[in-house]
Amino acid sequence: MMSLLASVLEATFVITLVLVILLIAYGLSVRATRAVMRSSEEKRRPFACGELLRPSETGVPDASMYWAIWRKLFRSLYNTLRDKIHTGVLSDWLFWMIIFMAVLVIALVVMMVWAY
Amino acid sequence: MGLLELLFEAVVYPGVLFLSVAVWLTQWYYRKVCAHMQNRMGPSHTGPFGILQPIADYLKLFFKEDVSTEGSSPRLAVILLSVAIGSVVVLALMLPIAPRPIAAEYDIMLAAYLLVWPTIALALVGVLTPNPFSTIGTSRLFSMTLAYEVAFVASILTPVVLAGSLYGAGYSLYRSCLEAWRLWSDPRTVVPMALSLISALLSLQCKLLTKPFDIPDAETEIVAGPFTEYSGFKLALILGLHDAEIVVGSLLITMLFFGGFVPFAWLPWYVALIITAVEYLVVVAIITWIRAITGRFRVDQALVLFWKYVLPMAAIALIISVVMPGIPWP
Amino acid sequence: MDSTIIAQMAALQPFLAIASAFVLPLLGLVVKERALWESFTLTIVTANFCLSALLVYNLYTSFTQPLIYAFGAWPPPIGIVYEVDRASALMGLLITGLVLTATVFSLSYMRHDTGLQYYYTLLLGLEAGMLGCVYTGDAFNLFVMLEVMSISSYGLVAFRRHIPEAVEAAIKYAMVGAIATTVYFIALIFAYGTFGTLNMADLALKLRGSTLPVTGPPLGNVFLGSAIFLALVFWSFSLKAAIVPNHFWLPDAYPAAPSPFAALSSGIAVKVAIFVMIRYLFTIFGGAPLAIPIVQALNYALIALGVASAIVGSTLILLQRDIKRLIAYGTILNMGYIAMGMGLGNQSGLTAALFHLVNHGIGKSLLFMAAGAIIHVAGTRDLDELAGVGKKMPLTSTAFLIGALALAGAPPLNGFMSKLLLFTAYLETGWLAPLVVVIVITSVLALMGYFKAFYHVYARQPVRDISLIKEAPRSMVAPLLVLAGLCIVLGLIAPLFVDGVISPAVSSLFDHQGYASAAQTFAQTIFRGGR
Repeated sequence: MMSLLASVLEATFVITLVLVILLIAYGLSVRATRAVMRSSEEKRRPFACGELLRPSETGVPDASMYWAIWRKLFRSLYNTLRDKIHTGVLSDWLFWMIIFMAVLVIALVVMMVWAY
Repeated sequence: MGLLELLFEAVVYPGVLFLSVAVWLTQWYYRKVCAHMQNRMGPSHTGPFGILQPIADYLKLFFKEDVSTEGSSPRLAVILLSVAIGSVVVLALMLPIAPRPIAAEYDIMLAAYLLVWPTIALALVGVLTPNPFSTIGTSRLFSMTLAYEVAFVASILTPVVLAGSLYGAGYSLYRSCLEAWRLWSDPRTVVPMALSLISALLSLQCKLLTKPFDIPDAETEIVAGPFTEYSGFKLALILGLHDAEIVVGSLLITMLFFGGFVPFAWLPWYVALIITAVEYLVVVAIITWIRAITGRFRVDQALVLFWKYVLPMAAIALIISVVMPGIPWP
Repeated sequence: MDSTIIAQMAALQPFLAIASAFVLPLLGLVVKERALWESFTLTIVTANFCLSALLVYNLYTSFTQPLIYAFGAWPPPIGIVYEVDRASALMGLLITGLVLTATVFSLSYMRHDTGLQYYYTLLLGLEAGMLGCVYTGDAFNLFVMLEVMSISSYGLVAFRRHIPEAVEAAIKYAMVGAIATTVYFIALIFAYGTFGTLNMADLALKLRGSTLPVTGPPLGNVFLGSAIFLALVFWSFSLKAAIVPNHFWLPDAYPAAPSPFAALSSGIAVKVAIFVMIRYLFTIFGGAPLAIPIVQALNYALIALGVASAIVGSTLILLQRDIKRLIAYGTILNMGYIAMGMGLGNQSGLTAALFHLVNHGIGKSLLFMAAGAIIHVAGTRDLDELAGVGKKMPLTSTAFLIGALALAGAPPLNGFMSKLLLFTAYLETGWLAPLVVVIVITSVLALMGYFKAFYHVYARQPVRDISLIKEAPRSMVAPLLVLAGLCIVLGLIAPLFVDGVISPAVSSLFDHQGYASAAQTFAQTIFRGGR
């Protein structure tokens, strides 16, 4: 068996090979369909089920992407993370830092008692 | 391994040519099985029993005009889809069906990454066209990736971890396929293997975007999702990628969980090959059966299903497989 | 070349940076030409880069022991020494290289700002502080250089004084950072009271029974003292390295700060903090019989906190509308990965962590600078308003895409290789293998987050008038392309790079014997009358 990183490079070689083959096939397909192509503006517009769609409306706003994740699946996790922990108030940050320090000190004491 | 050998394997067997034939025959098989389950006939005109139908479909797409929407990047889409098909070919080269496979210690994580690439390619291809349907399809696709990808990786990690600790397979996909079938006969490992087999099948169902998980491709909701604006050769590439995923995914489950032809190496080679083909067709039939009898989930229903049931099952199997070899058994 | 000459190259770098940082404001009083300040800074930064490249080359080819430079020829432990081994030299090269790219980027980026002589002063101070932190062999000198680095950072965050957001972020960051350095100072008090010395090699020797000349045996209870010292060091540097739950300052400090600073701070300054933690945990206190329980406990804490950092960073990256905040949460995620690699405590874990450190430094700087170029041209940080801007800036968008793919872990770029090493290290341990699932989940979430940023910047159709948008100036695009090329090259030559560069550095980090005895022989030579 070869080294892991060498097998990644082999995989890259195979992928490049397949890429070349399919690009050649794409070129052949374009050549074969050249006779069929008729230039027309209407069929090149984005498909909107017959409605008028301005280019600025074709994008999806940021809040609608992945809505299923933060509104349904991880809803409680995100509510806790966003509203209770990451408030942005400096004294809350210091609270978490002190908690961490306290946990470290307690773990230290426990470990030393156990090691002795 | 020499470069020429790799070239031959990538192009002929088990590379592009072999996968093309496998895609053709598998597509015909599952279309026929799905049709008969739904009281239809399936392909019957082209060739005896309609066996040439998939070839006819791909040829039609090859000769159809490839309309590229204004504002899209057609060449980038072709490159991305070809890279995805290439990663599926590499996965086929990592299984024992290849005479000299691409194998290394811990290459299971490379396999996990290669399994993700087709989804990334489909997602990128979706946003490259300026259509809100495509973008929403892509966002649904990514949301579902979060669900099934973790479950799939965890469920194929289980036999790999078990084979690694019990039979010294070194976390390599190839070596694990050679040893993992023995795990069924050991009473300690039957439970994690069964759990991970079930979760692997369900995750594969979701990965292939077949019902009940064809959410990004939901016809009545978002036209065709990421594939709305594609026609001609690019659509052929998308469908070819989908079918190649079916072939290689089912082959992966057959080889990893059932061993393929390895347990039957003592039989003459054609008998072992027939048994492997039967196992493979059974796996495809299970996927087709689930596809034929279910409707479609909503995206949050699918996510909750995976995170509540399938992922804990895979995680429990993985934890058992990690903890179990350490316990001193009598 | 002689070892003292090479060692002088190490000591010259921070000295050059800090001296020119002092000279620059005075120069600014006399000459008001911005071009002069820029060329002055560029010369100093390039000189530092060449010096550190020579240092790395010599250390990797000619020398096996760490190099020692004693300031003022005072031997350790009386004087302050710089002790440079391969890992320090590698970090030094990373620091000077990234500062060079950031300076070239700043030439056009800061064109419209005033008071640039102070900006370049702070930049040079930042470089001096970072170089001092990695090269030093003395714990108190580390505190001084840490303060130099931190104060330059606070100043750079608040540089655009007319934006209230920047000033608020700088105040919060300064308060939190000052607490961190104060706690480190308290740790030094405990170390001095226990060991009687503050030289790092001397600490290593006293833990194992021997000592440097002049100082005697430890004064106090070594077990108790080293436990308290390590715990306080761990807390203080996890705050500087933005490890959960000490990470809150990071996403607030970067959006308002100038992008070159964000690239440097997120790309290398947090790495310097974690490198110092590696130095303490592995080289000085690692393997000593008295310190084994505490180091083991801290390793487990590192794994747990690394997992928490990965989860927090990856889940919150999906929520951000501000492109720089999005990239900042990605930093928390990747520092979690580095902490997870460190916490394993063995060779493969530390190799994965160090390789990921280098890759993430390059990729994160690339991302922040590409985002800075986009913001500079488009004038806004909001993702919805940046829609489609990338279509008119092809080179910048390509660099951004390569950086995002590298950090999300797409083969064959460098981030994928280091994540693969991390997976391998976790699978090797056996019982920690289920944590691989955590790494996969967080990687998928991060991929979704970076994909979202790429979609809004490049693939989406514009929502407002972008006819005035054009490609960023050449001096902003050139560093981006260099870093993107480096990502690709490091990914392709990853096996060679790991074997030739990272593994010797990791061995030198585990080699406490060599680290301590180099200083010991150096001191003994001087005390016997030699040079």
